[in-house]
Amino acid sequence: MRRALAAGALLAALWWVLTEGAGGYGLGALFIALALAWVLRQPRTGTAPRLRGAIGFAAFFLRQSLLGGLQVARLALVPAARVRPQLLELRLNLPPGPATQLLAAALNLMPGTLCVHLAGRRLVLHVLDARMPVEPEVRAAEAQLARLFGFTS
Amino acid sequence: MTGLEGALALFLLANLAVALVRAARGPTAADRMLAALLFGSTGVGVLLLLAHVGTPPHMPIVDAALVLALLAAITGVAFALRAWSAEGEDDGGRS
Amino acid sequence: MGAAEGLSALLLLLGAFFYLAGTVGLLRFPDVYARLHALTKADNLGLGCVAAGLALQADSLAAALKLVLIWLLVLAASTVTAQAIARRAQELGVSPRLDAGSAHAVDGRDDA
Repeated sequence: MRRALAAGALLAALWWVLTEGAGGYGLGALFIALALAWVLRQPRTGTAPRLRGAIGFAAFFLRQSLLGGLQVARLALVPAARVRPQLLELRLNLPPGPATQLLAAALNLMPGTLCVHLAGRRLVLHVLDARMPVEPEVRAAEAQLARLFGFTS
Repeated sequence: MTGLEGALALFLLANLAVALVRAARGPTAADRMLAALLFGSTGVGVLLLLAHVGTPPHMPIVDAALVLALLAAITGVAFALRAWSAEGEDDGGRS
Repeated sequence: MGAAEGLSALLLLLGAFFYLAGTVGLLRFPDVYARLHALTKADNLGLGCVAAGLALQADSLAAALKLVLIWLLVLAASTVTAQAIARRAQELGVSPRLDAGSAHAVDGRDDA
């Protein structure tokens, strides 16, 4: 029931944004009902995102992607700057599944990390600048995702 | 709205042209795949700016940008699913 | 020029700056992996700034959120595509050009 309400609210908000608040709610209700029926038929993954975790993750992600863009800008535009790439292999604490896939996707937009291989808990990253402390950043992102999916309080 | 949008749209188009030439030159096939990324981020940026040349904004162009973004996302997911199924979900094939 | 208009122009210029950084990175970085860093991080931040700048000009909240939605879609598209390209490059046997001084440092730090 909670799942249906949350999905329904999200879909209604999506319709409102897509139509720029111009109405068309009769047609909207039809599409929302169809989409909701499809969503509720999907098997549960057991990892429902938490609202508070989502807000924390969004703030963390925005800050990190800003830093990521700034780092690339510095390495690209400062004449003396030079990339110092390396590969880094890590063992993740998160259970394999949506959480690790979202982690890899988020890391691609965070400073200096690009996922080149993810299988189970094994993650291989391409690191743009070997001088940056990448592992603490990955662990911080992991902790954020653990809160998002409710693996920790 | 301020006249800036048109100039910046042209600037982004120039970026897109230079980047596409670079991507097409390779040297590897993977370099040429970078073009897919360029249409997503730069292409959508150009469309959004063009929509806002003049007042009021031309919202149909924003919808075109939305569709381009959606297509880029679907392409990316299809590409990723292909890459996964090609390799399989092993836990340590690569040394 | 109002404050919102000024901030909007500033964000648009900042966006163009990040797009430029992404293009220069694409030209300057040594291999496909490093170029992926340039395109995913810089270009998406550029689009984020452009979308935010245009959202400030929007005449309704829904129209502004639509620009944010477009940005999020492109973010998702870029990160998934970049990862697939990196993976494909590995399969094709494209080995990343690594920094000689830190090739052995696997903990992400070296003392340079």
